Amino acid sequence: MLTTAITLGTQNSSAEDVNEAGQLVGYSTVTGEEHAMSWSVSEGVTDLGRLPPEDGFSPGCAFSRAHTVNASGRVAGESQIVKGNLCFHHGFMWTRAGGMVNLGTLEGGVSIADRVNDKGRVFGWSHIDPNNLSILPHVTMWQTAFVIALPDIDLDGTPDIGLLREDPSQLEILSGATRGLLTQLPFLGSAYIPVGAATIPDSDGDGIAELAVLAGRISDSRMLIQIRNLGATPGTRNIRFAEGHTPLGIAAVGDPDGNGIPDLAVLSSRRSDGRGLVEIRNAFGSASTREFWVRTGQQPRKLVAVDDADQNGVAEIAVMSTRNADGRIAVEVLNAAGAPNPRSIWFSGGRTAIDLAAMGDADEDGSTELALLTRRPADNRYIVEVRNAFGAPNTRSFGIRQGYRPLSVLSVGDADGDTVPEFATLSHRDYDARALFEVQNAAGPKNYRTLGLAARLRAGELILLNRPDNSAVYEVLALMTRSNGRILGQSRSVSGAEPSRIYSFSQ
Amino acid sequence: MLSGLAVAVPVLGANLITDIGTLNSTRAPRIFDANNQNRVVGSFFRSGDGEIGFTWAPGEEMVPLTLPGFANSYAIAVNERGRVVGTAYQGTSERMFSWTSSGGIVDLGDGQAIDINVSGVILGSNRVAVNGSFQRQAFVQPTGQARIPIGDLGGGSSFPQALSDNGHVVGASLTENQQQGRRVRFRETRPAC
Repeated sequence: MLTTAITLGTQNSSAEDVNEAGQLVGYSTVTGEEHAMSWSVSEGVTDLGRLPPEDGFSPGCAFSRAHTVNASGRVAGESQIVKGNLCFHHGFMWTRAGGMVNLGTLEGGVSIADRVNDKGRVFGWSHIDPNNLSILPHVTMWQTAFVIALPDIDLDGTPDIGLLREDPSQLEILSGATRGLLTQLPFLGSAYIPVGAATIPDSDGDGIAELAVLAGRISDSRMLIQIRNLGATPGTRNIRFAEGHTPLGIAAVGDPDGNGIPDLAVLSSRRSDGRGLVEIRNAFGSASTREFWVRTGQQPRKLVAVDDADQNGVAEIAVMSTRNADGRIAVEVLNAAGAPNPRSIWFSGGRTAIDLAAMGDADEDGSTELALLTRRPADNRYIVEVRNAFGAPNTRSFGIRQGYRPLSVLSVGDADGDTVPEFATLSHRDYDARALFEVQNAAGPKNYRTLGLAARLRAGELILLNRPDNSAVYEVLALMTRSNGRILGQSRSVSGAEPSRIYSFSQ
Repeated sequence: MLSGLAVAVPVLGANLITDIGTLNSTRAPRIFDANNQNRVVGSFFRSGDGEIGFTWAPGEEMVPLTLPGFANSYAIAVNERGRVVGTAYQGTSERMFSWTSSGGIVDLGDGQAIDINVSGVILGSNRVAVNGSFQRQAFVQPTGQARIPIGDLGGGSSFPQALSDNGHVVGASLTENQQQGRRVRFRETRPAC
């Protein structure tokens, strides 16, 4: 017998799917908008909201629908987002732990998420050409994975590479020397969604570093850091956090309090008001937690560790955020121990934040620097803005070539040997959808280079590798997927002098 | 440098998107189901060919699923053992099919496939002419056995929607007083096989 009418306060609603636990998802109208919703006997109706506008503040585009829910309560569907003056549909995945996440598209403007399985893989479709919606969409699969530049796990003298993913929930480690499989270690379990990870120095004396993974529990969204020894001695330690926060990122920040124990910094968003919080604590033993709140009215986006920009002997952290009122980007920099010495660095208005990286002192004025990757919606140009993290900003702007759409930015040291630190961006090129690295100096002559990656692969992320020969040559790796679903890493030396290397992870 | 850091420690999470591809569809594909081995089923629309069912799994090429003599098809469900069910249709004719990677496509006879559970029981419905009009009659079909009618709530037609792994069926039915009116949802609680 039909017993319950489920709405967000109005008469209009529709149910699309139900899972084994009786959680029902669909959509309902609310204050003139149509919102994805979830309902269960124990939790009642939850408004899943909609994706935020691309620029962080523009109103409009009042539509989201949930299409599917899996056994653990992950919801997938579609939401409109604002791009310029237009509304585009993007697939989303929602969890109580992480809120609504934009799944993005295969280059094109529109995607829809239709199904999510119990392993967290999402299936749907996406357009493939940003300039031509008449090119018809392709079937698409989304998955989350983290590639990790590991130190030397097998003690053969070469650093190794790890891939952390949910399906299966494990860390897969490949040899940096042979690129063959070293081991697969279970991690977290299916009850958690990984959000980020950081390697920390050896704590148990076996000479092998450890890995800390930040995750959110699906059932009640509670944050957790799981630390695992990557050597022969198994064992995990869990650090649990107070309820009420959504995890956003984690970074290893060295030992700023000087007690001989490595510290971890965690960025989260308070669910009641969205305010960002950074908690810095010892990875072992007494927590000795230090808390730093992001400015009110700012939406926290990303956390990075920064070298000692104010030269007081203490490592620092930087938090990128966008102002709710107008989307303007700010980066707050502060010491990770002792007097915080906070600084708010405001960047040019009218830009959409994409990524932030910490850099060395490219302009040789004694302050480490920040590289901010943004998109300017007014003319759809991408820009990397580099400026000091302390003192006079000495801002330098680097336009990305037209027709290239960068996903991320990364400091790569001084690859060309001219003593000037450089940055790399990972981009897709519009005309052939090829992924490539762009590398240039962060000061002085740019010495711009591009390094191509394999054709017909979808690039997802960019990291700096520890060199297999432990040399000073910088090497970057892009995480990619083939059309058969296999995850690959392709590395290039930033100098471009060496052939690329492919790391193939298990299917 | 950061104190206490022995190595570079960049770690980033990627939302990895896989372009599974297309069968030259002329509009957006339909995605109906995906199992925990990441096998996905649905259909494309091609000018001249109509709707074409497909399935894909990691490490495989996309497989079109059609039956001879039928211009249209769709794959509606896949169970945890990788068995796919769907329907081929043309005009008012419709036939159920199943597909596995080892056995290929199998014609299951007249009817419309709706779902399949982990035991291989298929949920479907037949379109039956009764006194000059058509009715939908739901059934379940265990592997290798005859179809078992589910019946209806007195209105002559039943419209199944899902089958659970323990054999429960949900759907809708016309009642005796609603032969021309709204459907009433039902739940068949007897385990089906």
